[in-house]
Amino acid sequence: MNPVLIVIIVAVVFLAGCVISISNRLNKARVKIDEAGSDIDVSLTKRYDVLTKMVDVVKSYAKYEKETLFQTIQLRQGMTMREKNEANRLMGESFERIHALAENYPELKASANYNTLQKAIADVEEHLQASRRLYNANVSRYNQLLVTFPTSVIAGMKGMTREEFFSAEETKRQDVKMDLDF
Amino acid sequence: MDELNELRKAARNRTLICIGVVAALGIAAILLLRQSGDRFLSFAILPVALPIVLVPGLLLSFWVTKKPRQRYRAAFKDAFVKRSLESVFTDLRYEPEQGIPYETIAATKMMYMGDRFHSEDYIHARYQNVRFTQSDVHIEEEHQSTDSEGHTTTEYVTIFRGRWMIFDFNKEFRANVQIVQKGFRTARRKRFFGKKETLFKKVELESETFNKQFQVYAQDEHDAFYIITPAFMERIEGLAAHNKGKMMFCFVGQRLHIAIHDNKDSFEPGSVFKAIDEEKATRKIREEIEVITQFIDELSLDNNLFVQGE
Repeated sequence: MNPVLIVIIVAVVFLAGCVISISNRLNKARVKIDEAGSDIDVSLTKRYDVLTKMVDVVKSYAKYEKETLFQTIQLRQGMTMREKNEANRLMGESFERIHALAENYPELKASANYNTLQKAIADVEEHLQASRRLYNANVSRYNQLLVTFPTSVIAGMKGMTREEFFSAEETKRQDVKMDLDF
Repeated sequence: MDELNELRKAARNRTLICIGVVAALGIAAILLLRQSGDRFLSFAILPVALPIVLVPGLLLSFWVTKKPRQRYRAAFKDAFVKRSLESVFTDLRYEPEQGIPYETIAATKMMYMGDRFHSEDYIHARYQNVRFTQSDVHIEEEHQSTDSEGHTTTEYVTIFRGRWMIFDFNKEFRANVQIVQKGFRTARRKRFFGKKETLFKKVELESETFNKQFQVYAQDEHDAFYIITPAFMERIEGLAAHNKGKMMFCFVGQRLHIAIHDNKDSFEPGSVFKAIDEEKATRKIREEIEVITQFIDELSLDNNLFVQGE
């Protein structure tokens, strides 16, 4: 066989191997982001559950309407990262409102239910932080792959674009109304 | 204190007598060989003859001095160690001759257990209301070698010597997590073959400095990020800088196991040839106790904010 042909075949096989390997690496990084995104959904749901329980406890002490304690928040599958950030921000505001309210009701602050929920809040916040860090670590790694050679070439061919980080952004969209539909 | 000094002197005297007897035997062997007349022969036989006299002599000395040394050691631990432990911990149970069982450490499935296991200085107590257990642990591996004549010799090589501590952990987690300082060579975990949820994956945390010093493995990445917060990472880095020896942290079954491989045998008396300096001995024991308390203080294990029902 012609030695030049052998060299060409070896080079083509090598190149194909590289392309497959890089492509798989990118796909794995993408899958990890999706998994971490689902992890954020779970943490947000847990946070929402504690928030609703908290609202029920507060309502039994202070005759407030549910709507004054927290804006209606909608959690649904397939939310974008911007929507998740927004839902998270709204929950944070609701917690702050409840804490401020509890200051005026010593009986509420001293109640066993309220204290149990305070611990639960601390725990879900930690879980949410863990999910956020895990997600952002994966996004950071993925985004780095998109800008470093040679993965950037394959990523460009596959049409892969940068992913958004999950952060508690201060987006001032007070008029957002969401319904619970998860 | 006087009684302790008497015990030390008894152990020292017995040891001195034994050293004297063995030395006398050695000298006698040399003199006998020199009297044989043939100088070359006596020098040629010496390397063989001396061990024949000295090795059994030393073994006999060890056996003869064992009891007084043990009595001194037990009295020291009772006088200094137990008293110091009682001043720091509550609900104390201290058993100098016992240790954390082999099965407890093996059950973590995160440590290579070697061929010979020894554990002593069992402490079970509470500090800042955190329950813990600790022991000195010594793990050895059997090494066999065969010479050109086919003689096989067996020796035991230390693969882990240091502390093993078990603390109640203040966060609830589902999956097991392991943090191994680079250089800690006896860490183990299952990474291949078996049920997916029991296999460990390498986890890269966001801190480059932490990743350079430590390797993290977890059955679930979320739990690794949940347990190892940025503040927790900084504290572990601080503890690693403060402690000699390499460390491993295992989060298993709501407990935190910490292994420190520093080749030290803690809570032991000094040499029988040195008079006891009460202040110095107490300070040494205090420093050894601080190895336990620093983990509870630094890692804020007494913070029960995340544990439901506390």
